Amino acid sequence: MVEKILVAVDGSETMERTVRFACDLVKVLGGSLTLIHVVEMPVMIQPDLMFDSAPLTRAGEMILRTAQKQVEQNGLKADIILKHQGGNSGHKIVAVAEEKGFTLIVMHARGQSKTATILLGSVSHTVAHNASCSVLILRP
Amino acid sequence: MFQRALVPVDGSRYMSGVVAHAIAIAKKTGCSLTFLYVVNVDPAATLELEKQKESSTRIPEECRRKAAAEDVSASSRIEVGSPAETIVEISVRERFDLIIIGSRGYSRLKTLFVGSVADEVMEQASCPVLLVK
Repeated sequence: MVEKILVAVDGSETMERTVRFACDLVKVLGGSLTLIHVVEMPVMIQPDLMFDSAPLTRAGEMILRTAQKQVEQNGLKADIILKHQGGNSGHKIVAVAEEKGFTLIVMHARGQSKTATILLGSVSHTVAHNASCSVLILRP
Repeated sequence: MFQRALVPVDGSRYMSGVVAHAIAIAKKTGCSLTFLYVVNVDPAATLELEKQKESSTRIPEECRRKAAAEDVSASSRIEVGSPAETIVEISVRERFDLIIIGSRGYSRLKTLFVGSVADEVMEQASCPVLLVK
């Protein structure tokens, strides 16, 4: 089976390790590498309230470019995907994986969750529970 | 990148998919596989225990044989205790660098995408976990 690997990146301090790991993985397993970043939008109580997502979108694009550069420095290529999601970004990652036929999702157990007491962040939890393909949860 | 992978198996019909996946990974990464079956038994029922251990041995053994047939370095093992706890404990104590676990097993609740053992292992493990769907 040709691996189609989707790597979730969020700009947190674990991102570099995650990307490096994904590169090593693709070198051994073969297949393709795609980076995804989901901009989490606040879920509005008043739907007609204007929320300017542009700054977050720009930040997301920068995160993806940084990760993509790291992949290229490893001698590989990666496609990038930027999406928006109201609330937990895990749902969007799952949806994209299913829609585009990814065979494996790679992500860190704790990205943005800075609290040491949280062992498995909410995004990785959501992805692990809802993805229809295999999920590799990285630690430490 | 992975040297030693711990592969919990439970004899359920989902097991063969996980085993095939583990073997494929081992062939590509050169890692060894340890097939682990945890006998989940009430500690009070000690008479039953030896019988259970004996009859359960064939489960990880069958997996080991499949792996060996594909030139993958593998071992089989039986432990007794709470499955998730035991799996995590062993992975930490014996420094496995990957746990490959099926998302479904003996979960009676068919609505769950991830069974309770896989769920707990995912939460508590301190090494990477590959959840095979």
